[in-house]
Amino acid sequence: MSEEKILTAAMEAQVGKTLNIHVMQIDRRMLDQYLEATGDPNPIYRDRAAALQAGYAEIPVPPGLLTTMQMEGGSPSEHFPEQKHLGGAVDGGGEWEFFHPVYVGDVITASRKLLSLKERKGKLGPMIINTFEVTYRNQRSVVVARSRWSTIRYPTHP
Amino acid sequence: MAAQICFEDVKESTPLPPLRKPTSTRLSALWAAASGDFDPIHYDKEYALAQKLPAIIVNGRLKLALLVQLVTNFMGPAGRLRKISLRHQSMDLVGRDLILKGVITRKLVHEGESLIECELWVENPDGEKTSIGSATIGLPLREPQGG
Repeated sequence: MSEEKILTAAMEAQVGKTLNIHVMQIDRRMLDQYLEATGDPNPIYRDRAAALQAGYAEIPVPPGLLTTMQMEGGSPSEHFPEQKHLGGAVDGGGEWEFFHPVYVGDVITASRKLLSLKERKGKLGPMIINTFEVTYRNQRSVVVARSRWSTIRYPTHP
Repeated sequence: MAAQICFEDVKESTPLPPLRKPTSTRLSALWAAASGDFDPIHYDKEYALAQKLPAIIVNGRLKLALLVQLVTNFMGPAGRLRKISLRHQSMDLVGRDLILKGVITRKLVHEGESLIECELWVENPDGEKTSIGSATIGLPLREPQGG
């Protein structure tokens, strides 16, 4: 068990490649569901006058909405068949940069790339650390946000 | 609406007003719908236990979203969140409160923008830090006074 290797050449061949591209229009219902879950009371997400007064062109969405998994087309494992046999993924965290506001009605194209792949030996045996880079563009091809985040995967779920 | 906080108003080592968020299976369901992440470890107890987890666990991206809220509420409508990072140290179990906290660590001007950096973290009710991160926020300058 301790000698088990899980990283394969087929997985490594994906490094630097785009795993998936996801296009999503942000609508009011998405924003409302997000606000209900988080409980964010900020009026700029509900009241157009408050949004304009705050210097936005329309009602913006919270930056956190862009960080939700739906914006990048669901779990990366759905787009990474080479890792299909591995157990569920553990969130390794990451960083998210926001360059321009995103508004209700915007069409966001998220492009997810596999940035790196490493095998490490942990307490639970071998594990793979996948790092992804996601670039978010609006309908005018302006890069509005970018993230780099990791998942840790084991041969079976820990 | 609360008065806008400006770059001149804040000091290093000033804490951000904390946010306390009770968690529940209902919240997990709301978050699954709002985020499109339907991994059952976040809402199906039987499934979570079968995965050798101690209980259903809070989604890490929900903790990220709540830290974003902590920061955006603090910075006011004219503030702009530029960057946030988060890494997870341990699991938060559904049913236990999340306590979101932050502190200002640095003030700087970069490419003409007045910025503050904050350390952020999530605590469980035992005071343990379960996730740790940071944020960079743009804050407006006060209008020049008189003359």
